[in-house]
Amino acid sequence: MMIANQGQPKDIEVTSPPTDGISDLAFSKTSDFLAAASWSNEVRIWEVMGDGSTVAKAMYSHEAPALTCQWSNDGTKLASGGADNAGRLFDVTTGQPTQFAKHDGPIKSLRWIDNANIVATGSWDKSIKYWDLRQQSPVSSVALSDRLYSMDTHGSLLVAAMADRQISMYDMSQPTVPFRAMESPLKMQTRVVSCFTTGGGFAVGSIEGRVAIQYTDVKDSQGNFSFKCHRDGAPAARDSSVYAVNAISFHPIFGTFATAGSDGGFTFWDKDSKQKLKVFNKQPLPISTATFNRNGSIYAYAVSYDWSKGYTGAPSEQKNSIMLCPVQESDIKPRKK
Amino acid sequence: MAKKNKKKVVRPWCWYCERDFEDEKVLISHQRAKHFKCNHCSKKLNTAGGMAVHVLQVHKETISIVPNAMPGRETVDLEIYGMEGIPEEDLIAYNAKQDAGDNPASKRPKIASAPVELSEEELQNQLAAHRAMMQAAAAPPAGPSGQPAMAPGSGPPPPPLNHSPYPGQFQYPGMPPAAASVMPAAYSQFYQPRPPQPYGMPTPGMSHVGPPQQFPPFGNQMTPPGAWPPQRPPPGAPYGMPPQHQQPGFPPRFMNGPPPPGFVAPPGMPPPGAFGTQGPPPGMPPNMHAPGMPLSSVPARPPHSLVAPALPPSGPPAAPGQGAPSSSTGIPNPQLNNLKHTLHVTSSPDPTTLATVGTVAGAATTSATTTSATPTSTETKGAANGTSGKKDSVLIYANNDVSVEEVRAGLERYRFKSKVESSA
Repeated sequence: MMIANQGQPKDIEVTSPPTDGISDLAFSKTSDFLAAASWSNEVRIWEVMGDGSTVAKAMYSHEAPALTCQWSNDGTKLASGGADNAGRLFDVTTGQPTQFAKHDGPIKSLRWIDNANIVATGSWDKSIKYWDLRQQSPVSSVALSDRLYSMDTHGSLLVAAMADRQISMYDMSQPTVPFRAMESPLKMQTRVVSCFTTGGGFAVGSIEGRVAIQYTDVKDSQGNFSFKCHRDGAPAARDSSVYAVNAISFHPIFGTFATAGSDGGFTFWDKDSKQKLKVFNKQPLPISTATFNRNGSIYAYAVSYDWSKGYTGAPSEQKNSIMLCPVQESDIKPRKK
Repeated sequence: MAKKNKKKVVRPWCWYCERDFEDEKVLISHQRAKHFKCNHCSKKLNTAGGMAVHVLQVHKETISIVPNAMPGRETVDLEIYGMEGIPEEDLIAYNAKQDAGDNPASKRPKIASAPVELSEEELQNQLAAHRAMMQAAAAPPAGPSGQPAMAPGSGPPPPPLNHSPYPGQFQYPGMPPAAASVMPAAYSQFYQPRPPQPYGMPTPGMSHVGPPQQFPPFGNQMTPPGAWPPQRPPPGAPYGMPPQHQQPGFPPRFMNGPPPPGFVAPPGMPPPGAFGTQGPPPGMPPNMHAPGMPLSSVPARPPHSLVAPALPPSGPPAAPGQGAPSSSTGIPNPQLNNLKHTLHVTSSPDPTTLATVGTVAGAATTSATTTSATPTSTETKGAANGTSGKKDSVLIYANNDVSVEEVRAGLERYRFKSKVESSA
């Protein structure tokens, strides 16, 4: 069934979307559950059926806007963090949310650590705290140079990007001391970092329509590069509008990635051949966040105002939707150079 | 006073567009940004020939003319770098023009009788000072801070400002503040206060102003920054317009009519609310940009084009190299950084919006956080690095210090009220 009123004809709109801006989307790794964190304080969960339709399954609230969410590796729990400075855990089996984390400021991003029952929460209080879910206090805490703006993990790699454009990389064998800290290769504020699903590096997106591919190992730094995206008009045009890159999502299998921006567009890219794979039609509102599902067959993106034009730029009607784009393999497969 | 030229050093000038600059470094960065910049990838080369080769090899295109160059000076064949490579005849012609430009100005004082002479000199001084201010103010990059200041100051031939800041500031990128303060002063001072005056303006007959052709005689306040190509020799002695500077004609000079939206013609300057209240008025955007940000298309253009008449070459690109951060030299980054965050430059300036944006010029960085309730969205050029330095592109969200989520989370309706279930 297609409710295609936005985006391409094939994209499917999720039912009962949140009533305010969507800050984060997360697919479960073991099932077809989709979670969304929203500025309405709620975290909503749907099940995505085989034909792309969605069934609302559960919902719980933070006490302030929810900013981040991620499923545990076994798919039984959803962790979420928000502007109420709290990290909450939703157990699918019990259907009950509990609080597992607390910071001194809003939790902007959180990630489950592989092979450990630990959740790392990053906050605007300039710290990352690691939580063992069975304990009240954090296992450890890492001080950051500035507010955490984005964080991602892959295997034992954790990459954290701060407000001062610093990026720290941690190995979970030594979670409190970064094995490498660097300044972002992009000159403007970091918006998002996302680890390669094939390991070895990460991508950084900024508010200035630019993405940098960065390898964690200094030896591989030859391969680092950056490119412009999410700009109106030709990238080299003199009078283009430059939009923020709000989300970078790596395909779990191919290692190619998608970027989504404030301009309402999303694009698939291949970093190894340095090519743009596919550009999709722009949505009427910014895409605030996006993600692939566990096998990369669905790309979910949230179309909702991201505040890039401030309060006055907000659309008069609240229109927030989550779209599911069925990914054609030909669109996301890596290409030869 | 033919001697004059020998006394002072000739300012370095660009062969391609006949604009002059404070020093050679500034000139070179101007050339790199305006004339030797690849249109496709914005790579800045060192010479015209180098750029041609780059475009051919990388983009597989041939170029035959140097961008933003005056007609007759467009050849890619000459290897000009800064002041090197300029054909002798052009050098001579340029110097002759400088002298010629000075002479009419120097003549005037002689004609006048003693008492009158003074006032003429005074006028000339004022003109030159004004010009200088204009140039300073014009520098777009520096614009923002300058502008607000200018506005208030510029009003009526203003009361003595103490020029002092101005001479020094003149390098075009960073003038604004100086310009602002200078403006008023320009009129009333004679330049004497101006210490460094390169041209020794204070003396009557300031003839030696800078490239005569660049400066339209104006008596007026500089008018909106941004209108002026940077680098106008600040002290430029009035071209001998002494009588003119008061004239209404000025505004047209600089800015072709009203300065960028929001700008009021020099005489009254500053669009009333624009500066005073908050942030840059719509018109300001160009100036307000943070470091070298090109301004949003609409507002930015007019000022630039205004300058065009004065400047031989190029229209908008002329906006004086300010557009690209890299091109303008010396734009005081700190200043710019402050401004850019809360700049709300939109193609359809909305005064209300600007008001909500909060104070821009000058308040800058902190305002971004303090006025978190107000949108910090701006459309300013966010070219922080050379590669993204498109002159006219507009960065939709330009606040580098605060994220959109932080701004939004600060709003009343999203604020965390502990122990209370807040509904969205």
